[in-house]
Amino acid sequence: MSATFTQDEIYRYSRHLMIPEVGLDGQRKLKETSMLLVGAGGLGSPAAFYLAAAGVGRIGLVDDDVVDASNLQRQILHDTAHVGELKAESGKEKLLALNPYIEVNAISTCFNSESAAGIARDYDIILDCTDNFATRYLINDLCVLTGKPEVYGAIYRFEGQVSVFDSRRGPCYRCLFPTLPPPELSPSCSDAGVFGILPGVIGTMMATEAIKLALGIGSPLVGQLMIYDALETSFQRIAFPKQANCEVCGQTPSIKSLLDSTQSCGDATLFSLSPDERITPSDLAEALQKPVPPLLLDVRSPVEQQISSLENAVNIPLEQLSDRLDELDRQKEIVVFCRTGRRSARAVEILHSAGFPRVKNLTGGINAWVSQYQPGAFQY
Amino acid sequence: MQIKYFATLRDITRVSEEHISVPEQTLEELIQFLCARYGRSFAKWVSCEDGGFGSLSIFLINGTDYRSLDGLQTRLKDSDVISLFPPIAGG
Repeated sequence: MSATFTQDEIYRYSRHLMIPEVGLDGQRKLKETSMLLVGAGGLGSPAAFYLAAAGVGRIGLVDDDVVDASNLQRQILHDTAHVGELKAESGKEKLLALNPYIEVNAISTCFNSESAAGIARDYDIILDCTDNFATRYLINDLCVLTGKPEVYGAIYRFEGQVSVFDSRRGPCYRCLFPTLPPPELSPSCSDAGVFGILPGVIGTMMATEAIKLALGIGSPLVGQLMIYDALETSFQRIAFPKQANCEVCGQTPSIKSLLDSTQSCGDATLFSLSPDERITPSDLAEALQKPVPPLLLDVRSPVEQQISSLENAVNIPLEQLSDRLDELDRQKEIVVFCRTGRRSARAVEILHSAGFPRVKNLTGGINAWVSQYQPGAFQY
Repeated sequence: MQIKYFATLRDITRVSEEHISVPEQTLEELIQFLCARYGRSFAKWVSCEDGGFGSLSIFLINGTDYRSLDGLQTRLKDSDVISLFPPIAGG
């Protein structure tokens, strides 16, 4: 049975109904379409708002994370009053306030290889609004294996990418980037920082592509990657080919079911250091009183030292560490730190594999140190 | 030729683009040259270390994906613009 509209809905969508490319038929298609947004953060926020406003009939929001105050610089689906609440629930409330004529499903579970197929089953179009490589490959494989179109968006500081992957008529994410990068090459927004308005631009473009797919109008970005540079205000559109030897959508695919992706949710398990490789702030405070204190290695970017810093620390940003090992004394005990302990955990692994014998990660990073030993200094 | 770097590669090279004058060569030779210049952090993204160039990042020659040309054996001219794109994952 095709969707019907009330007078209120007709009036609400009237500016769509007046465009020939949408019209009543198109608006009906939107109401009959379901879209799943994996991630209700930077990209998911603007995308969800516009899809809801446009009248997409059923929207699923998947996110197992809660709203943090540091999200609000870009994740406009949430607000100060919702800090600490589940993002999926906070988002659902906002979308229904904007448009009560749609259905919104809040799914506050981890989207991984076990849950993905069940969550995505009842949706027509999937939007990849996630923040890590593992989930991106998972969504791609799922969409290829189940024959669903996927709208892809990704951001890094001032740069964004948008594409549409539909393996039935074009290349997929693995055709573009065949290999899953290792975790140590995967900086998140919380490690790398992000220009707050960038996901606004990219997420809005994703919603545009999703609505075009639902309406069947225009030229979707199938086989095309749009790259936006906010600093240069440049858009570059590149064509990329479908790969005959693609592992999932090629002629003889080796991936026939979803690969295990349990590492994609949460960040605690990504880098498991042994107790010998960790040091708490209180143990560090003690060690710094000794006649031969450990060398402090700060692997944050130089700009972060303006927020907080440790006296006498040597600064080598993580991305330069492999090339600057000569600057460090191998005989010394080294304590590595960053903001929260994630980047420094990667640094500990790099130093260990380079043969440094005594390297420890400051648990909780400089934020934990500041909270206990530098009253008045900032956590961020 | 003109080389453009994006995202994490730009953080390593600390320039968004540069001109390099080299005799005519292949893309593979250019990548090797850049890896020697920018070190291991750079090489990780373009996979020089395990010999699988480009399996992580993609290379464009005048806006065209190198895989649509002659791959790593594509011959380069001094007037070419080479763009190096690593994958990004933020959201």
